Amino acid sequence: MTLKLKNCGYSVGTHVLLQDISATIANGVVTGILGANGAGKTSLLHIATGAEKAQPGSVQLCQGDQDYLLDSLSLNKRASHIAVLPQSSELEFPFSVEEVVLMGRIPSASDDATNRMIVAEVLGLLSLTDFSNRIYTSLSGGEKQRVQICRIICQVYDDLPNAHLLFDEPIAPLDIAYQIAFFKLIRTLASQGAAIGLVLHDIDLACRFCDEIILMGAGKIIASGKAAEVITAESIRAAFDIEVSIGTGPNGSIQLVIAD
Amino acid sequence: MRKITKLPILALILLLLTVMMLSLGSTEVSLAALLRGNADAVVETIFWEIRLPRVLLAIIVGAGVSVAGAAIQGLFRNPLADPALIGVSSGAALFAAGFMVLNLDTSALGLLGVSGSAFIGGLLTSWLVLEIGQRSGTISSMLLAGIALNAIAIAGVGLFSYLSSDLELRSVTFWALGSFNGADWPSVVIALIIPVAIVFLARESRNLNAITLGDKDAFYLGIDVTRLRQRIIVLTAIIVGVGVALTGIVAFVGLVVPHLIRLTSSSNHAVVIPGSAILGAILVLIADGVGRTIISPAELPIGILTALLGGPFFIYLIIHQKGKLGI
Repeated sequence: MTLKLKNCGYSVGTHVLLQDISATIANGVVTGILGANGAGKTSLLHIATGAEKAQPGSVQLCQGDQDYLLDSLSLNKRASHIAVLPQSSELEFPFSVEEVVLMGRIPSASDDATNRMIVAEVLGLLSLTDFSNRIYTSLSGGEKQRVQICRIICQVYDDLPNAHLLFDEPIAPLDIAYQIAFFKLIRTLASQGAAIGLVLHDIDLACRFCDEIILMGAGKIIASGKAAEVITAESIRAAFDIEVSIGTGPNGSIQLVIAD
Repeated sequence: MRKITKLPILALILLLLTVMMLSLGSTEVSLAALLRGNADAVVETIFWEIRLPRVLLAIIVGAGVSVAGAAIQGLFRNPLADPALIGVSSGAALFAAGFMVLNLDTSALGLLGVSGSAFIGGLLTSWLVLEIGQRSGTISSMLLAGIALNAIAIAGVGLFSYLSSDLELRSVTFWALGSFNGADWPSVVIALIIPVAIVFLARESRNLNAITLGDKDAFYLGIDVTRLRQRIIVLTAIIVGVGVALTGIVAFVGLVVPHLIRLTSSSNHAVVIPGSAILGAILVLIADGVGRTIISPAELPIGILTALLGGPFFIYLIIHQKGKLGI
């Protein structure tokens, strides 16, 4: 299943946040969304998920040759195909880790035992098995983030080929080891058919782990496609107003070299 | 699962306490004699017309204010939100007092009118607090707006009481400190809408869990947040409005009880709501029992006892949760 944005715009009052956005979050593909602060990355996630309505333009869910307008689907139906991790969590109540991750199963119709099994399996994916009875509010920022990531994965874990997983700056609170663990995990999920969208700030990691890159600036898409085509000295200058040269890491991946 | 097993124990305590409170009072009532049918006629009247409705009302209102507190805390995503603190209860009291000033009918129908206007007052205040909070976008401003509305409503109640020399308008003390003194069967019948609202709130447990994650997160889990908010506010306004109309403001119970359940059992609303209902009934029964016996035959308003217990607990929460509450 694929999420398609067609000529989308989005404004708040007279302030134009997005303009003429056409993009695809395709199944089996990891798409990285890059851009400067305020470039419209989070707004793009908001309209892609229906949290805000694109005006003009349309958002469609495509399955085979069937296209559904996102707006025409019930909130529950959307939730069973699209799971989203917002930038920050507001949870201040002392739920256990298991209870938090179980909330990801709210849209599903499966029984409690199945849900708990899925939660146990997903907690294992980010080394949280021993945390399941810990109190969420007592955890560190990085641990909380891993719990929230598990909640998002749990939401669609039983139907990955029809799942979209969208994360807004997921790796910011994670240490380098868990950043890599996170990327490996989402690569596995993509290989099982999930469509993945990530708002990221680390361009090197995005180039290393994403199949497709959408580079945004001032509410528009500057460039999109494979990392090697999108990340150039010119596009980085256009997006961030900084001077870089593009190097290659030992394993062939792209690395930004910041000019003096 | 293991955590839900505490609920039957609480329920058993409530049952035993109910039996105890039925016999306790300035007139000792022997339940055994009542059952055998050889009780004194006066004692029998006291039991049926005063003691039983009073105990029932304490159970219902205690359960109600605690569940309303749990629901409002979940909805506002803030462990310090409480209908009595953010002005919902005093908004209800203001409208109830206003109705009394305009219409002095104290028959059962009049009581229904007082309850109805208290419901509208509670609804209006919740809506204002939420609206102001959303406009400024922070939880602290929402709480502060509630405190301001609370002060305004209390002033309004005071003004009504001061202007009205009529004895029918209950005193400021009744509204501000609460009392189960006027409990009778008509009040119990009207109060029966509270358990109905509790059941509807319990059915929202899963949605309340989701909304503690954040409005956007709840939306992403397939929940229509605007509709949910409307349902929660109407249901809590029913509970608080009817409760306040019948017994005045029983402060701090709605704040403290859900916390005790969260601390000892779980934050899952499927546990917090039934747990708060039972524990709230227990605490209010005890407070009322103490209030009507400690300086017998006079009575201590229940709000004095609940505030003496709840106030320090509230301070403990503020210190303990410092930095995590957005204030």
